[in-house]
Amino acid sequence: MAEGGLTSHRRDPIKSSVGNVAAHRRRQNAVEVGKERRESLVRAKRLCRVSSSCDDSDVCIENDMIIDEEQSILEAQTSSAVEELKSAVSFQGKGAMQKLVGALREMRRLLSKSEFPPVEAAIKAGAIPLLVQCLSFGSPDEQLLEAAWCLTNIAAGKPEETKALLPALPLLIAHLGEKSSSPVAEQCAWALGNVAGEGEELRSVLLCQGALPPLARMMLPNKGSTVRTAAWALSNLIKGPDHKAATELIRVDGVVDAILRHLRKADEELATEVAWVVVYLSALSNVATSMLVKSDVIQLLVQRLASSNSLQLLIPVLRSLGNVIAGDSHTIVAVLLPGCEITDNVIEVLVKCLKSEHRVLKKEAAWVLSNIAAGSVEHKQLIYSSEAAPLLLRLLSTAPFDIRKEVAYVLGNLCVAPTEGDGKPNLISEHLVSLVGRGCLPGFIDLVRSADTEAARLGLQFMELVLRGMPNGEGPKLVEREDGIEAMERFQFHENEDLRNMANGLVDRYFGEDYGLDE
Amino acid sequence: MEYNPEFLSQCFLHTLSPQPEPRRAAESKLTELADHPNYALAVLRLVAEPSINEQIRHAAAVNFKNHLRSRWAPSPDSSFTPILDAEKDQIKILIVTLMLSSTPLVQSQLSESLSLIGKHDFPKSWPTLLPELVSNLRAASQSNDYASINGILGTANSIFKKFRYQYKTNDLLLDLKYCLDNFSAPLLEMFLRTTALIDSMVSSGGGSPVTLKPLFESQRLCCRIFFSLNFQELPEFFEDHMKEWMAEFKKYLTTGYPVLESSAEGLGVVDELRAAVCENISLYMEKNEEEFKDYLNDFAQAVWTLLGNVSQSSSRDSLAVTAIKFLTTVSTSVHHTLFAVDGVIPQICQSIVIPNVRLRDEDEELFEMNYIEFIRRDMEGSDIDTRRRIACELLKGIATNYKQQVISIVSVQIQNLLTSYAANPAAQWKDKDCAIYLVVSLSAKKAGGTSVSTDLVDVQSFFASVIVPELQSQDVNAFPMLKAGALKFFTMFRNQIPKTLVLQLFPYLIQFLGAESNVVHSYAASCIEKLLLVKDEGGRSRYTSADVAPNLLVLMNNLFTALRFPESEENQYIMKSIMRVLGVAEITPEIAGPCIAGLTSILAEVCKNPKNPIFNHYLFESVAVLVRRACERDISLIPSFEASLFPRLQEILGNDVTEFLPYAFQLLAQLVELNRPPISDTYMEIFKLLLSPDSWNRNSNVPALVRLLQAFLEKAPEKVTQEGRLAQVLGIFNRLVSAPSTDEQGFYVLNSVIEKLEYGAIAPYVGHIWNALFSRLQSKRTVKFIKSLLVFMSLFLVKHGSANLVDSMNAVQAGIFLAILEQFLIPNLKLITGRIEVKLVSVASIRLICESPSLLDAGAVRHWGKMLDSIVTLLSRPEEDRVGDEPEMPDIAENAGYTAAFVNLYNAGKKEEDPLKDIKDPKEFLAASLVKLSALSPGKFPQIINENLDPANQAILLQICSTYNCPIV
Repeated sequence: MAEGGLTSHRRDPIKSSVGNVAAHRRRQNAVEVGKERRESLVRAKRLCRVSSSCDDSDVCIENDMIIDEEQSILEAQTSSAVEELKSAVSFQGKGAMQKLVGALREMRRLLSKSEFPPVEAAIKAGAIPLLVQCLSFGSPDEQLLEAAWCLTNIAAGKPEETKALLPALPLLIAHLGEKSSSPVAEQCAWALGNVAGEGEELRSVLLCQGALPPLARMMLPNKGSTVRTAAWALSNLIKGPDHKAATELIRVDGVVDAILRHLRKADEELATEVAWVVVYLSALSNVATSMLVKSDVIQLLVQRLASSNSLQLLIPVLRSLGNVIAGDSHTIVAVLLPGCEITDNVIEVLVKCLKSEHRVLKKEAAWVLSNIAAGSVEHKQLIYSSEAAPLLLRLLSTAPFDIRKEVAYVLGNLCVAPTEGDGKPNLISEHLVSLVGRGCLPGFIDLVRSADTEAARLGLQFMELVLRGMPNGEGPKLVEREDGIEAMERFQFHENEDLRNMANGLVDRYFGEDYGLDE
Repeated sequence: MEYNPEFLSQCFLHTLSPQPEPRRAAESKLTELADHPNYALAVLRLVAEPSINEQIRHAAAVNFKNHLRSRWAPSPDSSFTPILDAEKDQIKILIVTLMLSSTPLVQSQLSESLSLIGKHDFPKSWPTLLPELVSNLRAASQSNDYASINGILGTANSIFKKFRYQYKTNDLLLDLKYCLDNFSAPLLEMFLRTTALIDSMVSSGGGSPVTLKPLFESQRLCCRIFFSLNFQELPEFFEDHMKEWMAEFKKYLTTGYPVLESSAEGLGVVDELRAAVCENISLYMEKNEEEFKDYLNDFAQAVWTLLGNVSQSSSRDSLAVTAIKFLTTVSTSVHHTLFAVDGVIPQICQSIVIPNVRLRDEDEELFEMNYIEFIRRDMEGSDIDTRRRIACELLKGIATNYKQQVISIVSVQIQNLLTSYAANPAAQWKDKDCAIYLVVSLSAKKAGGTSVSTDLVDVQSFFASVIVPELQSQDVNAFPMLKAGALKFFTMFRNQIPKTLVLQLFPYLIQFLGAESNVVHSYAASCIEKLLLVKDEGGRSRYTSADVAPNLLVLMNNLFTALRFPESEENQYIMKSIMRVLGVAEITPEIAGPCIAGLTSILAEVCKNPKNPIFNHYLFESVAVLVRRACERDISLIPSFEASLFPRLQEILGNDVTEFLPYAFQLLAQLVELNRPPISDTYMEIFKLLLSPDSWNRNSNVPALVRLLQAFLEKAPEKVTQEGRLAQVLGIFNRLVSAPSTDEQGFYVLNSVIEKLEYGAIAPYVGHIWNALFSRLQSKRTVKFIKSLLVFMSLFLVKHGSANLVDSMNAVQAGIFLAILEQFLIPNLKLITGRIEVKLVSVASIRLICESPSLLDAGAVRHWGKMLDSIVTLLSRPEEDRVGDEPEMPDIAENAGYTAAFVNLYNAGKKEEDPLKDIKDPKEFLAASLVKLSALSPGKFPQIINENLDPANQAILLQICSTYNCPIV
C-alpha cells in the first residue's frame, strides 16, 4: 500500500460505481479472433467423397475400390483428365454425351479419391471454365450432377481454390430452383455451402446473386438429405458478421415453421444442421430472435437438450438457447417466468450440461445461466436454490480458467438485484452471505490475480459487493484473510485505467489508512 | 510557412548550450515556431538530413517526439494547437523509412514517436503502416539486416502493446484481427528464420557474440509480440502453428549458448529471451490450458531444471522471476497434480524457494547504497518482481491445493534456519533473516502494512524468542539487516503484540532511531508511527499521549537527530513519524518550542530547493498539527509561532517557491483563524497580496487562496469592506464562478461574503452577483453549479431574510425569482446532500414559503404547493434514494486542473460550520412553521396540499405534523 494520504489525494477517484457490468446480459463478442470453435470448424467446408444420394450403384462400388495413391500420380492423372474433359467438351460427334459424362466422372473420381484431392492441379489445368460450361441449362442431370460434384470438391480446398469457383456461382445457384432434380439441386447446394464456408467476402457475393431464397425453400420439406444439405449450406451462408442474411432468411415464408418442425421431429443429424441455422439466426438477427422467441422454440431446444446425448447436437442447441435468452429481453421477461414448467426445465437441462464431461458444454451452460441470473430477483432465487448452485461453486474452484470466468458471472449475478439507471446495484444479501459462506470468495480473488482484464474486473466487482455487503462489517476482514488486498495492490500502477481506479478506490475506501488522528 | 533548416539547426544547437541565455532564447523561439503549421515536418526533415551533426539531429528528434506527444491529438481542453491533417499524412508517409535508416539514438526517438502516432491512429487512420512494416521486414530479413529487423519488430511490439491491457471490446478485437491477419505469418517466418540462423551458427561452432546478440534480441522481440497478439485470446493462426512455436520455445529454455553465455552481458541477452519465453508459456498455461496441456510436462521439466541453475546464481533476476511465475501458474491450475508427486514440494522448497529467498550480495548492496529503494521493495509491496517475493508467491500458489504440506515443510525449514543461526550467529545471520522473511511474506497481508495471520508460527512466541532479542540488542549498529528484519516483523504484526510488551520495547525503538543504517532508523521511525495508529475494537486508539509521555523528550530529540544522518536529511519516514507523534502527544511548551524551531529550520533548508514532495508534505503537516494542537491547549503561543513562521512564509511568497505556495496559504489561513481581532498589519499586507489578480493566475493555488480569503472574511470582515476591497473580492468570485473547474471555489468565497458581512455592505454589489450567477446559469449549467446556487440562495435567505433575497433578484429582472424557483429550485431541491447542507436548504425553503409574500400570493399557490412537495421529499427520503449518480462526474474531469498540484493539508483543515446552530430538527421546524402559517388562514392550506403534493408525500407530511403535534388547519 502506498504511504498515507498524499498519494491517495493524487489518485483519480473511482470513476463509476463498481459492480454494474455483471448484472447485464451479455452477448458474445461479434468479432472472432480465435479459431472458430472446433466443432463447427469441421463443418465449414465438406468434401463429397461418397455420393449423397448413392443411388448410382457403380459409384458406390467405385468408392470401395479407392486406395490412396501417390499424390504426384494423382496430380498427373488429374491434369490429363482435364485435357480429356477439354476434348470431350469440344467433341461434337456421335456419343458426345457419353464421352462428356465419362470424362466428368473420371474427373470427379480423381477429386473424391483422397482426403487431399488434387484441386490445385485441376484448377491449373483449367478445369473451372470447362465445368462451368458443363453446367449450362438443358444439360442432362447426370452431367450436371458430376460437374457440380467436381466443383464441390474444388470448393472444399484452400481459400484461393474456393475463390476460383466465382464464375460457376450463377449457374450453381440457378440449378437450385424447383425445376432441377433433387440430386442436382442438392449437389449444387453442397458446392455453394463450401463457397459460403470460405468467408465473408464470398458469402456476400452469394447473397447478391440471390442464393438465399432457393436454399431456404429447399429446407422446407420434411426429410431427406436435401433438407440437411440445404440447412448446412444456409448455416454457412448466414454466418455474418453482417446480420442482413439472417434476417432475410427468417422472413422467407415457411422457414420458421420448417425450423420448428425439424427441431421437433427430425432425426439427430438433421436437427443438428437446423440447430446451427438457429445458432446464427439468434446470434445475428434481432428480428429472427424475436420471432423465434414467440414460437415454442425454447421448449423444443430444451427437449432436445434433455433427450439427446450427442455432443454434435447438444452444442448448437445449447448455444441457440443461450442466444435466444441473451438476445431478447422478452425471453426472460415473458417466457422464462419463475414458477413455469418451462423455466424449471431450462434450469434442469443446464444443470445436465454443467455436469457433463465436455468442456464446451460446461462453459456454454454457465454462460446461459449467467444471462438468466441477470434477470429478476425471482430468477436469481430460482438458480440459487437449484442444483446448479453447488455445481457452480465447485467449478469456480476446480475448472479451467475460461469456465471459471463464466461461472463467476453467474455467481456474481446471483448476488445483485437488477438496478435502474447506472446506480450501484443493490445486494441480495441472503445470496451473497450464503455463497461467500460456502467459500466462493477465493475463486473471485483468483480472478483478480489473473492476466485477463475482464476476469479481473469481475473479481473486483464481486469483492466490492463483499466489502460493502457482508453484514457486521465482515467484508473487509474476509477479503483481508483471503489475501485480497495483495491481489488488489497489483493494480496500483496497472495500465488499464478503469481497473486501476477500481482497485485503488476499493483499497482506499475500505482499507485506507487513517490519515489524521481524531482524539 | 517555410522553415530555414540552417536556422532551425542553430536553434537546436543552442538548446544544448550550457549557457542559460542562448539556451532559453532558442527554447522560446522553438516554442513559438511550434505553433505554426508544418513545424513538425520541418523538424523531421532536419532529423533526416545526413549532413547535419548527429547531436543536433538527436535534439531535434527529441523535440519532434515531444511535439507529437502534445499536439498529435491534444485533449479538448488543452491549449495546444493540433497538427493539421495534411501535415500528419506527410509525417506518416516519411517516418517508417526514416526511422529505419537512422542511427540508433535517433532511431529510438523516432520509434517512440511512431508509437505515439500509432496510439491514436493505428490501425484505422493509418492503414499503410502495417503493410509497410511487413514489406520492410521481409526485405530486411532477406538481407539479414538485423539492425532494421529489430527496429521494425521494436515498433510493432510497441504498437501491439495495447492488446495486453485493454478490455475485450468489439473495436479492440477488430483491431486485433487486423493485426493478426497481417502480422501473424510474417512473425512466425521471421522467428523461424532467425532460429535457423542461430542454430546453424552454433552448430558449426561459428558465431561471435557480436553477430549472435542481435539475433537473440530479435527473437526476444518476436516473443514479446507473440505475447501481445495472444493476450486476449488464442488466435486461430497461433493455434494452428502452436507446434512450431513451442518447439523453439523449448529449445531456448533447454539449450546453452556458451559463446554468448560466457560473458555476463551475453548471458543477460540469452536470459532475456528465456524470460520472454516464460511469459508466453505462463500466458498459455493460464488462459489456454487445454490447448497447451500436451506441452505442459516438457515445459515444467525444462523450467524446473533451468531454475535449479538460475537459483544458485546471484544475477539472472528477471529470468528467475518469470520462470518461478510459470511454476506458480501451474501450481494453481487444474494441472496442479504435477506437484502432488512425492518429494516434489520439499524439493521445490529446498532448491528453488530457499535459495531465492536468501539474501544475496545485491540485496546487501541495495540495503547500504539505496535505502529508499530497499524499503520500497521490502516493506511497501514494490517487490512484485523480486526473487524473494516471487519465491514466496510460488509457495502460496502450491498452498492453495496442498496447504498442510506446505505449512509443515516450511515450518521445519524455518526451525532449521533458526537452529543453524543459533549454532553460529555471526556467520549464519542470513539464515535468521531468511526465516523472518518467510514468516512475514507468507502471512496474509492487510492494508497499511500489517499482517493478519500466519499458520507457520505462533506469532507471539516467535516474537518473544526471535524478534525481541534483536530489538533488545546492545549494539544498534550490529547486523543491521537483521535489525531491519526484526523491526519490520514488529511493524507488520503490531496489532498482535500486547500493549504491555510494546511499552516495554518502546525505549529500544527510540534507540534504534540512532542507528547508523538508514534502513534501520527509518524502520524504527516507521514502526513508532504505525504503532500510534493502532486501533482497538471500537476504533479507539490503543496508544495515547499518556503512553508516549514518559519517553517524549528523548523521542522527539532522537527523531530530529536522525534527520542529520547522511542521506536522511529528507527522510520521509522520520518526518511522518514526527507528524504522528505531534498528533498524539501532549504538546507542552517544552515540546512546542524546540519542535517549531526544528521544523522551521528544516523548512528554511528545503525552501532553497524543494526535492522530496512527500517529505515536504509531512513537514508542512507537522507544522500545521503542532500549531493546531499547541494553540488548542494554550492560545498565547500564537505570537511565538508567528515569529518563527513568518520569515519562512514570507520567503516562500517572496521567492515564489511554487511548490510550497499552496501550503503557505493554508498555514496562513490557519494562523488567521487562530488569531483574535484585531488582525495585525503583517496579515493585512498578505491580504493585499491576496487580492491582486496575479496571485490567482496559477490554478494550483486557487483552493488554498480561497481558504485564506475565507479566513480573512471570517476574522476581519470590517477590513474587507474598507478601501473598495469588497469589489476586489467579488471580482475574484466572478472570475472563479465563470469556469466549471473553479465554480465551487467561487461559491466558497461568495458564501463567506454573504455569511460574514452585513447586508448594508453587500447591498450595492448584489445586482452584480446575481448577474454573474445568471449568466453562468445560461452559458454552462451543471448539476454541481445548480446545487451550489441553491445552497447560496439558502444562506442568503437565512442571513439576510427572504425579502432581501426576492427583491434583489427581481431587481435584476422583474419576476425572475419565481422563474428560478420553478425551473431550478423545485426540481433540484432533492439533489442536495450533506447533513448541514440539507438542513440549511430545507430550513431556508420552509421560511420562504411561510414568510415570503411572493409565495403566499394567491397567484403563486401552485408554486407554494410544489415547493412544499420538494421540501418533504428532501427531508423524508434517504440520500441514496433521492440522488442518482450524477451523470457529469464533476469531481474528476473538472478538478483535474489543480488536483495535480494542490495538496490539502489535513491538519490545517477548515472545520465545517453550521450556520443554523439553534435549529436542531428541520422536520420539527417544518411542522411548527406550517401550523403557525395555517392558523392565519384556516382551510386554505389543506386544499393546496391536497392538490399539489404527491400522495406519498401528503401522508409523510401528515405523519410529520402529528409527530410534533402540529396539525395543519
